[in-house]
Amino acid sequence: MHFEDRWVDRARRFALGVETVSGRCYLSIPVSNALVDYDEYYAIDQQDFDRFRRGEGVDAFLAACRARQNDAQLLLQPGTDRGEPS
Amino acid sequence: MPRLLALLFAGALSCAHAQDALPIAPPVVAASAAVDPAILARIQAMPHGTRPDPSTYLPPAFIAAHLAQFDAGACRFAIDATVRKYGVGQKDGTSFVMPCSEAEQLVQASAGDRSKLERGLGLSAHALDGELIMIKIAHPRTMHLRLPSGNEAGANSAWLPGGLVPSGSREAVVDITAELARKFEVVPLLLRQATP
Repeated sequence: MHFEDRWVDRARRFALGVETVSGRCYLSIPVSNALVDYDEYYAIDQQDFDRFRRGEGVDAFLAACRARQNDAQLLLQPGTDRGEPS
Repeated sequence: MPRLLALLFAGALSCAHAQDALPIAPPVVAASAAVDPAILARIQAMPHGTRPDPSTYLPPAFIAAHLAQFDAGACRFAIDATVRKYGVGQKDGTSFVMPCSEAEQLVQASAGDRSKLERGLGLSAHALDGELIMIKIAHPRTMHLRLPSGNEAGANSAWLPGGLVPSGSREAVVDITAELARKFEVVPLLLRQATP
């Protein structure tokens, strides 16, 4: 997989981009475990990509991701030591 | 066809440091050797944000010996793009670190294989498909090096009191403020792609 960020909101700590192999859009958030900082990627459709970029509904989606309520949309399944949203 | 080992340490600031011989760390001593394990279990079970400072339940000699393992440098791994977007450190300004000697051992044990390092870091396959970097702090005591309390933003459900991660590596915490962020160097790690 190759994740290409297209838009970053540093204040809200998320990014929107495209996984270029599949062409799927994603929203990513930074997470950290005790050893490493990395991103988690949640698949979204183009409509949500455009909507989130305008700031519409993104806070609720982010909260659900951070509460692990959107795990069904993860593009990479968590490992044995899943990071906390950071 | 055998793949060429592609584990390289690069970067103008970092080559000499990364290839320096690191002192051999003494054996890890679990906190359960110094404190009643039942006390540690109670602390672990406390809700995030309510756990006591480690100095209230760990002997000073244990804490001093633990933190001394970071005097040769404290390290942390990260995906370069993540750091470029959000900076180093958690939203509360803290960052977990490990002794550089143990970080180097993890990298060496992976023999340059991305998937082995992913497993060593507790991550899923392809989690390290981005460029991996090692954040190296030469003098972590200047960044308020301490044992984690478990109240840090990065303390997840696997956190254990006593300064060890579940895999047995040592951990500590430093503060990463904008001013202190200039006190670390970034070492790129080039790993070969996982074998299909």
